[in-house]
Formats: sequence, structure tokens, C-alpha cells
Amino acid sequence: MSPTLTAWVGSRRALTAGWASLLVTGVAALFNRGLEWAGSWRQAIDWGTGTTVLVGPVAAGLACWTYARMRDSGFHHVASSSSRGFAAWVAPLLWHWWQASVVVLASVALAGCVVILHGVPAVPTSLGIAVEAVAVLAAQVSLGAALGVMTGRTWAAPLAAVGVCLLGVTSTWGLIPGIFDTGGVTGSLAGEVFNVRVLVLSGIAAAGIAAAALWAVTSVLARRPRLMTSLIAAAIVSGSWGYVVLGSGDDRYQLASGPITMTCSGAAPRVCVAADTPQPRDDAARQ
Amino acid sequence: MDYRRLSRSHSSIERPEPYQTFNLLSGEEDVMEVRVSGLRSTYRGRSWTLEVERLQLTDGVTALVGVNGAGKSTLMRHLAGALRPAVGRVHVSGSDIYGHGRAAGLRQVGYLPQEYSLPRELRVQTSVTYAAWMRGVGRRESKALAGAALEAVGLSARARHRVHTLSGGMLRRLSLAQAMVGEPGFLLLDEPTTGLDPEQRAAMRDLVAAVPDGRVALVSSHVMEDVHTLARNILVLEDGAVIWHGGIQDFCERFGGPDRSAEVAFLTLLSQHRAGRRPRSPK
Repeated sequence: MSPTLTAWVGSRRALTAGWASLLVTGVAALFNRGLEWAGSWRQAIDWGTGTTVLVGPVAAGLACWTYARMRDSGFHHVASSSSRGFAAWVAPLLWHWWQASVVVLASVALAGCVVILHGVPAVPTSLGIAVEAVAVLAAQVSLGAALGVMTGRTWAAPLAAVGVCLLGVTSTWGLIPGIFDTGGVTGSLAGEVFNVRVLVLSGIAAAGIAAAALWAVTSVLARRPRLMTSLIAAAIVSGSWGYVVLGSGDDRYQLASGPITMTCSGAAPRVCVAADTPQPRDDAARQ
Repeated sequence: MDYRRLSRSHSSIERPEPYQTFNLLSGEEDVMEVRVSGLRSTYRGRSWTLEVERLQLTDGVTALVGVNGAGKSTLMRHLAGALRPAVGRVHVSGSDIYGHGRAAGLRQVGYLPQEYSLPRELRVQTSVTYAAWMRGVGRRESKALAGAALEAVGLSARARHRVHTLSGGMLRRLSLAQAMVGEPGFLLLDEPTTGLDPEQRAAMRDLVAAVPDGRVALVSSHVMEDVHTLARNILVLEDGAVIWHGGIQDFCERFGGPDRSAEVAFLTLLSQHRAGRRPRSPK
């Protein structure tokens, strides 16, 4: 593997441990309430992206650990005096983001496989919400990295994980705008659809948070490339706008405007349920 | 340049031709030169302001000396492009390293901070390859240059070893290889002999002294014996100001007493400066 990306993420053992902790967390988050989402594409995908609530904090802890080591070693001085120093400094952040994204997207894919195995007929139409989840992961990982840079202490890693996890909890409870609320709905989504406006705003706000954290991560360098400075500033401005607009309190789900697709089973009685209901209709027909 | 020559004792090495580049615009050869103008920075917790009105470093090793807290490491960071000064410019081979010419200027800089370590779990060769890549060298070329740099510091046999298996002296040599890889024209070494035993120090001194003519090296040290052996020029800092910049021989002759000792010269200069007598620096 290229040392460009992984030079600072630890030994092969640490790398394996990182992957293992993320995968175990992803699986645990996906199946922590069994398979109650297995009959609905929408709910399954929502649970897949909902793994971000736990995978993100673990990735944030790993990023914090990596950047605390980098800061403590004085690497920022050498990075500042190298022509590819900015890339070298940011590469571990991209690595941790990519790693977490792979796990969350794999969780979505796994949830999809389970749905197919349950014989649910409707096709997935809501995969776009995975983009929002990846943006939220960027924010979570960047916040962890920023804490690592600011403290320069590896003991801050668990604090970063807990702090980012609390952001998810407070987001879900509505104490802060729902940026870090990425799914895991417990009720049926029959007759409901994802609120695209809220998801887009949430993604933009998350990208803004990621950019602000990236600003902090790179603040120890002597200079950022001009293009990067402009991109980060633009992301912060649009993210702030997204954050403010998102504060209006709209939910990420809304009632479907069109007719609800039904799926039926049996003859007498004939049981029809909404296509996105996780209820096993054959059992209902038999009863 | 053949790096193998650098690993021999500097007294016996054959000095290569001065490092020069060809300027396509002017059609003239550019000799490596570092220029500082109007540099000024203030730091929290320090009673002084680092001020360097004008400084020019030309080829050969220049020793940077001063008491603890005089501003040596801070000046090194400014010159290495690692710390932007409040005002002022630093030009490396004509490129402003805090301005438009930053990328080109930084390609010429090899910097070894006082406290710096690459991840201990990396292989020795990988850590130097990584340093070369950071300096803008292509991936394939990085490997070849890393091999040459390791050979120069006598660590070729350890190329496949992990960094954490090296001794303190080897680690310092590895750091030197990281700073030297890619043959930067301007080498900054912040106390490269700190923490080394006398034998390792002598070996390190030989390596640093082998910097070819035509390149600029700035080496900070507290050990005046190292300074005397290594340097062609000396730069003395006190409370963030340059109080002497000139040839080492001249410095020792003027202030070093009958033995022309660099240590005596340094202490004499400091006491004269603190007493309010300001000896006029030749540069």
C-alpha cells in the first residue's frame, strides 16, 4: 500500500485493528434491532446509512489518534517546508474518511442484500441518501482529526469518539439541527419518502463542518494552497447557510405526495400492504 | 552526484563541482543563494522580536549559534518555509518561499527540525522514499534517491528494517538522509548532533561537512567544537537579532583569544554585546 496515504495510520497491526473496529461497529449498528427493517427497501437503506451514527465516531477516534501522533512528532514543520507538504498532511484524513465510507456503503449494500433475500419486490430508489451519509462522515472524521491536531495527545482519541457520538445523539433528539441524524428509523416508512430538501441541506451543512474542521487541521501549516483556501472558504460559507436553513426543524422523512404502491397476497382474504411495509404479508394472509 | 563519496570522512572526499542550475530565461547559471529581507516576527511568551533586516547565505556550511531561547529554531523554521513571518521575505535560489515561488523554492529545501520523527513502524527505506515524495520527486525516482541517501549516511544495510529497531545515532542519520534526499540546494539542520555520543557526533559531523560546494547548509549547534570543525561561516543570534555574521576563521581570530577557540570567541562576543559594545559584523 502506498506510504503516501498510510504512512501515519500506524503499523499493519494497527491498520487491521482499525478496519476490524469499523467493520464490527458497522455490523453491530446495522443489526442492533435484528432484521425489523428487512421487508422495506427504504427502511433498510435508512438503516444502512444510519450506521454512520456509530461508524463515524470510531473513525473520528482513529483520525484523532493519527493526527495527534503527527502533531506530536513535529511533522507539521517538515510538511510546511515541503512542496507536497499539504497533500502529505491531508492524506491521512482522506484515508480515514475513505475507510469509514467503505464501511457505511458496505452496510448499505449488506442491508440491500438482506432485503433481496426477503423477496421484497420494490426496487431501491433512495440510494442517493448515501451521499449525505458520506458527507456526514467527512464532518465526523475531520472533527476528530482537528481535535488530534489541537491537542497533540493520543489520549484525546476516545474523547473525539465520544464527542462525535454525542453530536449524533443530540442531532437525533433535535437539540441541534439534524445534520448528524443519518437514519436508523424505527417505524415503518410506508407512505413516506425521504425529504430531499432536508437531505441536501444536511449534506451541505456537513460539508461545511468538514471544511471548517479541515481549516483547523491545516492551521498548523505555514500556508495552504490558494485553491484549497478558496474551496474550504466556499464550503464553510455554503455549509453555514445550510446549517441555518436546516435549523427550521423539518424532518428527513415526509409523506408521499403520490399514490402508495400496494403489494397483495392471498385470495380470500386478500391482504394488501404498502410495498414499503416491512410486514410479512403472506403470514397475515394465512392468519 | 555520487552520494557514496559523502559517506567517507570529509577530509578525504573529493569535492564535486558546485551545484548550479541553468536559468532558461537569462541563459546564465544560478548559484544557490538564500536571501532574507525585512524579516520580523513576534512570539507569545518571548520578550524579544525576531528581526533580520538583511541576510544572505551563500555556498558552504554556516553555523547558527546562540544561547537557549535566542531564536535559532524559530529562524530556521522561517528560512525553511515552515513558519510564515509577520513581515519580510525569504528567497531561496530566487524564489520567494512565502509568495508565488513557494513550490519552486521549497523543492530546494531540506529541513531537519530539532525534534522530529517519522512513524517508528515504517521501514527505513519507505521513510526516506516518503520524504523524497514530499519534496516533489516522482514515486519511481523517489525509491532510487532514497537508496542513494541511505547509502550516503551508511544505512543501506538497514533499508528493510523498521525505524524503531534503529539506535539513537542511526535515527539521527536516518533523519539526515530524509533531509538530504533529492539533493536539496538549501539544507537546514537544527542541532543534528544533539544526544549523540562522541563517536556518533564525529560521524554525523563528517556527513554534514560533506555537503558539496555550491549548496547552502545552515546548521545550528550548541557544541562549539562541531561549529569550528564544520562551518565556513558563523551566524550568532541573541534575543532574536543577528549580532554576528562572518567567516569562522575571522570570528575565532578576533574574539577567540590566543587559542583562537570558537567557544571563547562566542562567549567574548556575547559579553561584549551584553555590555553594550556592539562589534561590527563583516556581513
